[in-house]
Amino acid sequence: MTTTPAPDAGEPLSVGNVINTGFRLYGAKFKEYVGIAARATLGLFLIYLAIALVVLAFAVAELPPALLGILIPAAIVAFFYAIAHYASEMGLISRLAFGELTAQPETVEAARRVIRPRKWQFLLNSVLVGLIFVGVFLPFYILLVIIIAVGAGVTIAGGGGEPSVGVIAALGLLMLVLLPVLVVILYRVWARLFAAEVPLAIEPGVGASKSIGRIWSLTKGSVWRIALIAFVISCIMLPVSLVTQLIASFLQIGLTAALPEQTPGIISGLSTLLGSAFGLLVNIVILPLWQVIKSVIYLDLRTRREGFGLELRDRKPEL
Amino acid sequence: MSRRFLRQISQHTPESVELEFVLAGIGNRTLAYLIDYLILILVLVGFWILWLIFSIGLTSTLQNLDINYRNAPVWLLAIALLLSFIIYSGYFTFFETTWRGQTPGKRWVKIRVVRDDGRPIGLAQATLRAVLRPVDDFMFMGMFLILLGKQEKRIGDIVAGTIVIQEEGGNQRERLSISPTAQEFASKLPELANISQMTADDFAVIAAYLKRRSLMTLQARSDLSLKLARQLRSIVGLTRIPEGTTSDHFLEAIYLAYQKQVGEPTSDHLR
Repeated sequence: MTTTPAPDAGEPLSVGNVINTGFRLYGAKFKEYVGIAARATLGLFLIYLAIALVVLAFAVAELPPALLGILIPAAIVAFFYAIAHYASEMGLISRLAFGELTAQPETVEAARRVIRPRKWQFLLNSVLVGLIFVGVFLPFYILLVIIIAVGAGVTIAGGGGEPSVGVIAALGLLMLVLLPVLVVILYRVWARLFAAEVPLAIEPGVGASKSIGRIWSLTKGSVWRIALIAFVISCIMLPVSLVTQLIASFLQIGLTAALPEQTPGIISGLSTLLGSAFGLLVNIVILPLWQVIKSVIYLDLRTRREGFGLELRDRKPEL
Repeated sequence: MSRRFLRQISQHTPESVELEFVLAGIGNRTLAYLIDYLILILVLVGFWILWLIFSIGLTSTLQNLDINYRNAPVWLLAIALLLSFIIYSGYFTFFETTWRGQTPGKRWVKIRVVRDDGRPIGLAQATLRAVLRPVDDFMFMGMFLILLGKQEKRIGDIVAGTIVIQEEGGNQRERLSISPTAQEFASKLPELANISQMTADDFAVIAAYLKRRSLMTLQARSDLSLKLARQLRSIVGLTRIPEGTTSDHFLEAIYLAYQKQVGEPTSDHLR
């Protein structure tokens, strides 16, 4: 491990080089990061399976109601615990990636010791981000309801029956204007909050809401760049997801051919199971890449907006 | 940020000089690809619209001439398809040949095609790359090869003997805005401080700060400016600072004074 920064430390990266850096780091640490993602996803899956089994048990067997009083709160706690744990493990990947990027790598255990106590902050962080999106979406939803209500009102006032062509055209035109506005606003907000949990994972003393505030201020003026990075990565991942879908459908065809006498119900059930297992697998492989990319973007934003890495080198003692 | 994670290769030129290249990488190449294909799609749509207008005009003329034109639509379609392919391949061949290995997309993201030994590519290489492009596009083969290969070569690159590299920044020197206060201070600095204690690396950091400060957040900027100024002050052993000099003034002044004393160092840190 070297502590002296590279001579070109502190230099911002282009869109393409952010992506390159992300892919290279992801490739170099593939086993470690995918291992974390696999265990986190499996944990989430198992907890939800347990909750589902409990619900099923109640539906099938007559259990004493007193048990319900214990099991329902327990299920709710387990539900949120699962999300908190999952979100914090995703944050762990970002933290590890950041350590590598700044040439100050941590072991998984050491990083987890820092992340674990912040588990509930990660839950709060994702809830807050969700609420912000609801807050953005809600005014549009209300506006939509008002527009439709006005349209209906005009139709009724005009004697009821079929709505006139003029009303429909006016409504359609309004939608045509509003929808792109909504999409652009949502995309902008998404780009600014894309890495909302990363400061929480990396910086000491940053809580759930402060993490959002920090990313919001850092991403100012970088929206299009982040959006472009995400778009290009999606384009690179498109073939990967196409190929995996192809494999999944081949599996399905193979299954159908292998079990010719079975009832179609079993085949469709099996292929659904296989399909979702496959989807889970793809997710496990792809998610760490996004967590790494978030860290590269975060570091690049700090380089640009805070001059991160711009420091004078310690000199050796004079002779 | 560190560029450690960008893939580098070294190649031997015919004169057995070793050259270091930073490969373009999947990010830059995909971005350039998207830009080029966007331009191509626009050009091709324009071409087909013009061709349609031309075809309609031709058919109506033929109709008036009272001759057998039954095969004309098939021929028009065939010629259009051929011309489309020529536009598609010609776009890459033309630009990569005349712009020394660059297309509009590649120029935008600052990457370039060169031969394996670093020499610029010619018509032969550009043509091979362009003709094999459909093969690389089929099932995204080229993309997987770039992702997995050590030299990031798609089939066109393997056959043509080319690599795609990042262009070096070319040390474009922007003029930094320097306040009059700092200019006045700079002229006095050599008497007040020992500027030769500064290294080229220190100068590079100061220059980078001055160049990029306008995009920084106010808080981070004032913190960083103060930190750098304090460190630098002890390095050059400056004891007295004129009244009303901010840390930014001091950094600007020391930038000027160092430049004057040492001459601008040929450091490639400023890109």
